[in-house]
Amino acid sequence: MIERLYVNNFRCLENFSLDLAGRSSALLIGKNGCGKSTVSKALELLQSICRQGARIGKRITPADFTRHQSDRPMRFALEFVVDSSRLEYTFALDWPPGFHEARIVDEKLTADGQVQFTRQQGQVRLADGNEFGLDWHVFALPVIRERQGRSILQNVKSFLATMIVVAPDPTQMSGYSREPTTELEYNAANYTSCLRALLDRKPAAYGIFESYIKTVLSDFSSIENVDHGDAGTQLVVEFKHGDPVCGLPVGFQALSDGEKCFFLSAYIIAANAVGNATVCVWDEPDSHLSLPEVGHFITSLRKMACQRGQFIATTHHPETIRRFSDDSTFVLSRTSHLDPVTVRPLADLNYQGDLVHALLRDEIISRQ
Amino acid sequence: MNRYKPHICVVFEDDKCRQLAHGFVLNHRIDDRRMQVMPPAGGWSNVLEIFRKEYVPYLHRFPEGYVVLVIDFDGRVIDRQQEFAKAIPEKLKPRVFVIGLKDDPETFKRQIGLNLNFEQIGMQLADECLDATFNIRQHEQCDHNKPEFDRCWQSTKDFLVRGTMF
Repeated sequence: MIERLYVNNFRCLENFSLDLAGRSSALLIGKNGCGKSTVSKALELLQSICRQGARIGKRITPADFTRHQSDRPMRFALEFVVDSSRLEYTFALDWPPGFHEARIVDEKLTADGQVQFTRQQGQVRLADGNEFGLDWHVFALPVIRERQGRSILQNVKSFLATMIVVAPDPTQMSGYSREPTTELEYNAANYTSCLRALLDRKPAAYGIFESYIKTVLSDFSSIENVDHGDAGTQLVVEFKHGDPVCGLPVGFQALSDGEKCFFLSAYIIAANAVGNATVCVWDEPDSHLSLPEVGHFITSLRKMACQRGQFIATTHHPETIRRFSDDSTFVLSRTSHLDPVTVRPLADLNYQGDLVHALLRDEIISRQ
Repeated sequence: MNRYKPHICVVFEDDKCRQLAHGFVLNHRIDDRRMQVMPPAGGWSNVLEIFRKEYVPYLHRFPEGYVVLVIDFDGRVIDRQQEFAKAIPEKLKPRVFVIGLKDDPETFKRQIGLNLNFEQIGMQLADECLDATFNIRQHEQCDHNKPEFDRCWQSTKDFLVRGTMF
């Protein structure tokens, strides 16, 4: 569970702190350009450290520094809980003149207040006092190996790598898969590969997956990964209906955008139920859904998070907004593109009458 | 939500009730696909008006439908109950329920004093219904609902409660 995210000098986020402690689910609302998706991007960056290799590379560009202020450090801090252990991972980046890549200024991991490692530019110091040098473009977290019997760093790496941060593009969700993977991409294009990995490793997930799909697509019967030789496999969905029962196999790519989102949600709920507790950050989960489905879709993900894991969403959709309480909704705003984003819990803001009407009247989110 | 299977439409008065209702639905033992929480009507008289205009014909068309009207009684429990009773056609009475707080949700939240938000109160109300317990349900802001609550629960629990999350 993410307890707090702090970001400074990253795009529109300056001295930005999102306090999620004790919240199994949270909603970010605000006008276009207020930084909702940038919060997702910040989490995606943290995720990428334990996914895409340790080197910063092109993950950060000079344009990612707020108002191109690459002479000031860009800082991230993530406080989270894994297996009852309170963890805090922080790092800062800068971009000195003449550099072709961002540089890591400092980096630190603590677990229950105990320092696991610290790093100042190219020098890393471990908890046991040992030190080693490291390229200042390479993150220490993914390269440090723990002594046998310890698992704190591994838990942190696993937590960050398997965090689900998505803004699905259903047109990219083709249904073809070469290799199973546990790392869902931002646009969910590798959805089928993730589903394969889940069902290979945790076959019990299928029962939950199937139950969910049947609640939204009552004629769903089964799925099959059809072998396509060197091209890998293609996901085919079988629907059955009528009396006598007639079956219809449909390639996953032929499903509608909304139906693909149902399948994605089924995967997330099943993975969370049978695997490690999942943090799911979904940018506009309602984008492709019909109006009567939106509320149920959101409620399912919130219910999942009430049991275990965490669900964080952004939205502009009134039905999604209504599905979150004032205490679990955060309002992001900024007065101009030159000003930083501010965030406040909706519960701290006064509004009269219906929330959505108040938003339409611009009583809550104002660019003043 | 499948309108040809037993289902409930919840029509409520204000934004605080919205959070209570969604908290109720968030309980993992409640089948949220059998329950559609509608947008706030904006006042008890609007709840009544919407019921007359939209839900009376709806209930005639869909015999598996139920409607729960959630209002603030603003201290006038008997008056409002009578007003709603007049508006509900005799034939539909078994499928329509009128519940609400004696005053309003803010007063209720303050008086129960458990440091719960509206959503958490809704979740606890669901737990109390499911476990047949009475804690906040028997608070003086709520206890006038008991006959209507019981009637509603008896009519809907068979399709509203499920053993698993899906």
